[in-house]
Amino acid sequence: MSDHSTNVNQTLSVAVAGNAVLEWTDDGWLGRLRRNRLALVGTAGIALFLSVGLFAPLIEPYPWSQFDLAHRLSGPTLRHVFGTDQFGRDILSRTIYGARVSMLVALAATAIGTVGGVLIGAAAGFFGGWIDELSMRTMDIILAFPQIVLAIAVAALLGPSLINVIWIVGLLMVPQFARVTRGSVIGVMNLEYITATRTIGQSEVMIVVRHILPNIAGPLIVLASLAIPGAIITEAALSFLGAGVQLPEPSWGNLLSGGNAYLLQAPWLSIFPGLAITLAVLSFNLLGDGLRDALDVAGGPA
Amino acid sequence: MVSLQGGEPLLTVRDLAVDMRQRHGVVHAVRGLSYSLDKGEAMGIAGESGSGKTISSLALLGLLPAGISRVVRGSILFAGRDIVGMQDTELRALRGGRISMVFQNPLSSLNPVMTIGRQLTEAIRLHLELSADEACGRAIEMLELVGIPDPERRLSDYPHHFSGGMRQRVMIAMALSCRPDLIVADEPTTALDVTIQAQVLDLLNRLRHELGMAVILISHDLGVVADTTDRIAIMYAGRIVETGPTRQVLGAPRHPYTIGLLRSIPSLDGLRRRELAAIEGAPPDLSVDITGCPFRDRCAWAIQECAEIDPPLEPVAPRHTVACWVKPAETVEAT
Repeated sequence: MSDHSTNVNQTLSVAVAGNAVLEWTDDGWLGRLRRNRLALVGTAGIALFLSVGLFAPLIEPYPWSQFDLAHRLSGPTLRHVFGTDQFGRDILSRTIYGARVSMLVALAATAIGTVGGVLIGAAAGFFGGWIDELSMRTMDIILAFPQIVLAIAVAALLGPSLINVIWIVGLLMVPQFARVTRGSVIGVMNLEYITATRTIGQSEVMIVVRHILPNIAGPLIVLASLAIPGAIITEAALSFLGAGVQLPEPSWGNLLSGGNAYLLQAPWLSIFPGLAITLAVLSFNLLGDGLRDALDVAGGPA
Repeated sequence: MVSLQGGEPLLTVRDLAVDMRQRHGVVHAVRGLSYSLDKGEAMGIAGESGSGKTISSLALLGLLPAGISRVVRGSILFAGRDIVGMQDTELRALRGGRISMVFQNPLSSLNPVMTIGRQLTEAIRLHLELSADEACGRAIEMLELVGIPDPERRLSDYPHHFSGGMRQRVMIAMALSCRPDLIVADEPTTALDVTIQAQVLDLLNRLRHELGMAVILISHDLGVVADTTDRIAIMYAGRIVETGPTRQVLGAPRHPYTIGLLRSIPSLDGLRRRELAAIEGAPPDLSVDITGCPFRDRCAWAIQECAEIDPPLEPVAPRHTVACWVKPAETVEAT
């Protein structure tokens, strides 16, 4: 591209109503993202955790449920790189398997939160009136409860299990997405190109799908990438408290709670799962921050 | 209104009145607008901000802002069907298919995150039964028609890759893509440089003659309207106060407002020290009902009757009508 159009590119990508210019070019968001070192580190971390989760059964050195009573509570050795727990189970294997659980819950729950939140928020923003009132007050009700308390209450009702955890964490994420979507939709709805799209005879539904949603994608992408680590932590907290994934199936959270009793004598039971949580959350946060900067959006319109 | 071409006029607006609900009350934005337009005719609507020209054009497409505006009375007959009260499905078929609109600010009237190719083909496929490839081909034709070089490559460009004038050409291409009978251009050149203005207006003119479309050109700039229209209507306070053949109205205006407008155009070759001739006063508040002529407070020729009865449009020459009791025949200094 010529110099002139690059300048126009950069000036206008800020000028266009604060919206992201979603372009796959070096001048566009992907280029900016690629040049952000921290974001690349984050991406590498995410790739690592996702692969570990995906290929868990293939890479765990021992089956996560296998007892090795001769080597109970041994510290990190060549044989058991992260050490063993009170039953002689390999911590590394359990942490790897825990990655699978955490990634699954985080991604699935975020997907639920995104889809649900965007549908509700778009409807509320676009139609206004009682639909808006009803949706937003419902979202307020969910937000009014402390997340963990609400999650435990629902888990107690439904019984703790992996599927339930996914639904609960997903539900907790819906209000944020709904609010951001609603605000963005309202911000974009009255812009001139939406009126111009009506003048060519497009129907309201298609206007929302083809014109409004792509224009608000920026802040939503950022929100999703920052919501995933939140989901990881919420799941870990629930499992830690016994309301999530149940022992013996490992999740980073219940590994932490299992290690609690042995904290002084065998801290490695807690350190490694804890490190895993920290690094995973950090990776997603780095990518999310990088995306936010790359998309030139300061919290999105409205 | 009698159409000289014989047969029905393409568009007949009869006594259109539109109210808009604002925070401080109801504003009578349009207060009884009537005109007709024949096939292939180009009409200019000139007036200042607040005269009702944009609202009346939105009404033509059934796009009055929902919830805050309301057509109080009147009809808009397009090819025999009344747009006022028309069902959404029929309106959507009309929009883009038979009536198109070009907006003022080409930067904000194109979707910034969609390539212009997609925006063009969207418009095309909404009204014409074409495959994706055929629609692409048509889009390229339209870009060529409006003078965009290298149209095939440009299809995958985004709006910000184009300059202001080119973007307006793209908008015109979109508006023309389904060969509408009528194009409504609302201040199409206001956001452009003067030289680009001339190019875009030339384009509109050329295309009108090539494709036989009718054009309604709305502008506050009389210069823009002067060269490109057959007829002109001057709007003030929600009504037409003077209308007729463009040359006639601008050459021999008979309404005090038109005279004032023409006088206020600064001259490049006048004497240096002349003061700008402005029209004293300000437009009336349209949220109150107005008795008599709405221009009377600013009019140098106002007589007793002007305060009491609102003058109707009356002919002063063939096809030239004026809403004024006095109809002064002043000459305007050559500009």
